[in-house]
Amino acid sequence: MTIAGLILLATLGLTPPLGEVEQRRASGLSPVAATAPDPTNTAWDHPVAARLGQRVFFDPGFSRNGAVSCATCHDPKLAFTDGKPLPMGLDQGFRHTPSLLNVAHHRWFFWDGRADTLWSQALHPFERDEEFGTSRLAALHRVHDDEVLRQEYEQVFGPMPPLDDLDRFPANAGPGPDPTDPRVIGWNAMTDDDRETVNRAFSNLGKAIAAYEHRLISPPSPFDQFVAAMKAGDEEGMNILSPSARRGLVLFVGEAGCRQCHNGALLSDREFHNIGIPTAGEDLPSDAGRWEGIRLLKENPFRANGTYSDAPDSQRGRSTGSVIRNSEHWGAFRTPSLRNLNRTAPYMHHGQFATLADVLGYYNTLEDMVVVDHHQETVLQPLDLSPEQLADLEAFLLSLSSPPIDPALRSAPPRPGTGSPDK
Amino acid sequence: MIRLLLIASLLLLSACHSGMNTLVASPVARTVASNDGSFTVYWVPKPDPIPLNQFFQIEIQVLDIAANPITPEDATLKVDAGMPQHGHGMNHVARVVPQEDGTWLAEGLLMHMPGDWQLYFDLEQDGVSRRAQTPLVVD
Repeated sequence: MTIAGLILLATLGLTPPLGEVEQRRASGLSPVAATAPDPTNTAWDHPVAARLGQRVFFDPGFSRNGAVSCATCHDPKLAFTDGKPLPMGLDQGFRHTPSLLNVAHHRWFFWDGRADTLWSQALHPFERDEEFGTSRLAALHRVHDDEVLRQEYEQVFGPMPPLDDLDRFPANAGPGPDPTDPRVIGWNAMTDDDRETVNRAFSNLGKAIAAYEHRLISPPSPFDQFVAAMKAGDEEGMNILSPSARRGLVLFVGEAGCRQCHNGALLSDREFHNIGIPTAGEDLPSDAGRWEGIRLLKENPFRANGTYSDAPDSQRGRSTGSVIRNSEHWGAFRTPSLRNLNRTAPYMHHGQFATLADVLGYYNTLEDMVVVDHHQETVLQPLDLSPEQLADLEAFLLSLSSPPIDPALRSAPPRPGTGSPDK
Repeated sequence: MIRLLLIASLLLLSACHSGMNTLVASPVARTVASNDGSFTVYWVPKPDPIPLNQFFQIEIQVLDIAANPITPEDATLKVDAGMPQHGHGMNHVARVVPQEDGTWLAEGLLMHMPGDWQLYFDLEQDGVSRRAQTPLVVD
């Protein structure tokens, strides 16, 4: 359907018919399926691993001050985001918190894709000074010293390392960039075999967290119900989408070109683009995004084709081995999912836009767009839509918002014998 | 018409004589001639049609201008794809694996955006690199 036709329908408040191509493209955006097992994580579907991972996710005891957990920035009430432009753990983070709903469907993790599996991603916060600020050994000691955590760990992964021996396994040690950091000094004093043992156990901790996080799948949204009705030929069921949202859908999969990058069930191609969003206080951007992310990925011992992967030669492992690093990746960031936008404001990698209208306004004019070089997305042109059409697009985007997930996944599981959740 | 049938028969005979599990006879194989006209690529994507933003493979067979097979013993083949209008290509290097029957299997290809792509087959033989390329629309 042409832009002129959509403007006429919007003016008359009418619902646009969906042609064959539009129906096919809409079908490609729904539903969000359960995730396929990650072969690099053999604990993926283990229910005890998931329970352990869920305990760790909500446990602030893994942070240096005992007050920061994964849930501090990934709040279940906000679709596992924090509502802030930039996160606050022990200190302020440097990129906006992405939602964890449907996260396992991503191909790369973090805005720069520096992790290639969910379990690898989950290991980063423990050792980042602005997040938990501890170390891999501190994390393992906490599991080791807690009867419930240790029992669940050993039920899934076998015996923990002999962490009682503090001469071999210091209470707080791990690798880092600063050789004068006591954690690094302790780590460097360990034997190669003991470091390997710790790394293996640490990777298991990440695999348990991933076993929990991959269950965070959005229930069907109004848009998903619309697509299901469309496939069934149920005209009445299709009325779940307002005429405005349906006009927005036609724009989205058609002339507005949103689907170029926002395709698939996440409405994300799960890859990286530089759309030139300005960052406050900067003329040219300083955040290298995917360019740096690929370097970090290749250096990461916990990558999908690395030592601690359970299937380094899987498609996922080969994908990491074959990834290309080009100058076009400088300043590129992962295409965000467009699901649950009603709970994930502000938007973009630095939380630059407070509202959805701000986001659409940027695409409509590309005002203040920062052009780094000629490799930048040359396909991006101002949408130049009317206010009514922007409202239609926003109505469609909001129709991708799901009801809350299962309450059992939104807090720590009860501790055995007490019925009380973990603190 | 008779001439076309003769050429087709010759192509089939040539491939069959070499004992190859030929793509030449496949009704689903697509063909593209090299830019210099010196070879022809027969190729079959798996799955077909090529899916948007999912990994796929391509089975490939190459015949020279006289319809003789060019095999992995004779040449090296590279496969790539790009979006000329966007100024970028795929985010992965495809792995091209020689097969025992004289064909190649390209793995790890992924077209992450819908739109106009160009698929490139670069054949390196006797120190010379020659290209066959074909447009693709992924939607």
